[in-house]
Amino acid sequence: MKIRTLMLAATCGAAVTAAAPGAHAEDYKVVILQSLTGGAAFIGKNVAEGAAMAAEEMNENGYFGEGNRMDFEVADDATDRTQTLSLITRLAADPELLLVMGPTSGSVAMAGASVANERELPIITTTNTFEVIEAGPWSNILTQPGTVTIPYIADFAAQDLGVKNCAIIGVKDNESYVALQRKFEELVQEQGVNLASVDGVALADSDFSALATKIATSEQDCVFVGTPASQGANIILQLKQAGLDPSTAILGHNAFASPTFIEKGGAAVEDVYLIGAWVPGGDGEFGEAFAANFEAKTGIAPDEWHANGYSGMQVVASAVRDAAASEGGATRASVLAALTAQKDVPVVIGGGTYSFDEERVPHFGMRVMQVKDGEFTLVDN
Amino acid sequence: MLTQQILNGLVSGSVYALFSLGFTLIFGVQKLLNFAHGATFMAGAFIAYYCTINGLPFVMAIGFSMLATGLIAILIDLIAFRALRKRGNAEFPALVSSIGVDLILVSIAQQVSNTQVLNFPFGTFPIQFYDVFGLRISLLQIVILGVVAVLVTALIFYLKKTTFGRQVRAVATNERAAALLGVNAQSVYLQTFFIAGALAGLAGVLIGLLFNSIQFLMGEPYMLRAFVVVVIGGLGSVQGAIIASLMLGVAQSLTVAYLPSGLTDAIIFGLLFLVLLVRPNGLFGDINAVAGGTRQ
Repeated sequence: MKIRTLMLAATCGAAVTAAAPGAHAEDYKVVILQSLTGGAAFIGKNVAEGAAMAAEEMNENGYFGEGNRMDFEVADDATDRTQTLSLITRLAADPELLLVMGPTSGSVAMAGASVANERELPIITTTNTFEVIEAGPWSNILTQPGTVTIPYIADFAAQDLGVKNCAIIGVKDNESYVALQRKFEELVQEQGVNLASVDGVALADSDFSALATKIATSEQDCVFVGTPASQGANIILQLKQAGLDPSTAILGHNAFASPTFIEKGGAAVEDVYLIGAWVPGGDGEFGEAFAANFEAKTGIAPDEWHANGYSGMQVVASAVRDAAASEGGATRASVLAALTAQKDVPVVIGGGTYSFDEERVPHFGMRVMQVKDGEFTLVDN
Repeated sequence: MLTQQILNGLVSGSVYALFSLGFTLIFGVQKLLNFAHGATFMAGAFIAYYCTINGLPFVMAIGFSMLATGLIAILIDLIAFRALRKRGNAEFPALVSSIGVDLILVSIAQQVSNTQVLNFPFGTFPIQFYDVFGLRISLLQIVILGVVAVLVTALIFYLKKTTFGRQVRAVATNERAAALLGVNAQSVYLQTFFIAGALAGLAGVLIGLLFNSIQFLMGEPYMLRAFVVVVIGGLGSVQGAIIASLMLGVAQSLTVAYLPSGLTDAIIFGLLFLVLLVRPNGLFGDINAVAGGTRQ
């Protein structure tokens, strides 16, 4: 009951302002286009689930005003550029459609961005690559680029932990992960940290025995693992099994902020440092309510990508509602204008609010965490 | 580090051997590239995982998984290959058909696993390490090396010294002549697929256990490596596949250890080109096997 009350409290204020007297019921059409299959499905599927849950909640809570609702559907970009091009072209032909939340990963998002700009359809892609923004005014990004997130963990490593020599393990076949890894390398090197080694693994790899032996038999005081949660846990497990010095600091980026990381890594991931937009279990009332509701609905604890999807939909809904309240109502142009003007939207990630800056770059902050006794704990730094 | 990396490579290579043997066996007998073999391997890991978490003892889960993947492989033959084989000139259509079966199995696994990476529960196999002559080796690695050695020896014995083995080789050489001599080619095909599927299933379980990771796409990198193994070893050559698997495992470990890891695939596939240039039929290949000239 308390959770429901919290959710209502988060949305009721906006609902009251949007429900203009005498207004007729409106459906605001949005498509959640994410990678439900293919290589980026581990991101896209979760983003779609989080976003769909947010939209359902807001419709139930009257977020868009009495009788109004978001008419949303979920579609699959299949992590495939051809399918994405075809889908966005078809979607753009629907005059009722206001915005597409997606596609998911960088190369697919870039393909989608070119069509979206050509057809003047607002999209907000899950990827954090600047090229999507640079493709034109209609294409936007949902997640913070590495320039915003990685300084949190790079500064923590160099300044708080004082590491001097770092081994890097990244993902070589996903451009978002490569960008994050390169940013970390650049930032720590600027602060005088030496790179002991730089290695890349493929997303589908699971045999890290050779890499683990190489690093475990080398000298370093830090290992940065820039991979998805499950794979990172597996790499760390194999590093420990290969005999890595227990005093070596292991660090990761926001992809580790998932219950999966601890579940897959067990005792091996104890003491690992990471950053996260999402603090598992939620940080603050809104986040805790989301975590509880999501788990009650799906039976699994939400991860970073679920939380990003849920938060992204809060931002999209806020933009749609603002556009609907503007002169001329909700059109693609007014939704786009409202989207990039969003400031301090309450979300369940980062510092709790989401804003776009003048360059349409999203900002919502990051937290440094450490695995302690099988749980993510915030690090005071 | 060198000897440790060679040991790591031999363990990985021995599992590649298990995986590649089935692939090369099917090619040797049918002259078909079964691209659904990676999905069978993945299915083996999935089946053993779900059996284990549902309370079946791990050894029984392995046995059940091998049986199930053997049957899956038979189904693949019946559904994807048999009709094409009857029409003749099945090589290319069968390749496309096997890719289709692979996609179906991968999609099912993705739905079943909800796209999550799975792993056997901690404690499924005892985690024990031994230091032997400066080498760090786990109990699991020892067991894997032992199991693979026994199975490979048994398979070679089966193919070389038993009636079934003689039938397999007869069908591989000339199906029509073998049929005239009373060999039931369909039965040989089904048994070959069963053995290939069971070996792939076991390889999937061992990889899932050894590297703590089971996921719907896990067959793809192994499929690519198996392709390299069977080409380098000589298409259809069992001994060649075993030696090439071990070579590949060690080469992979050494390139990761001593060269930028991003170059691993480039080096492995460079090696493939080199072998094809020098020995187009692979290190142990038979020119007829590659050309398909023995198929009548």
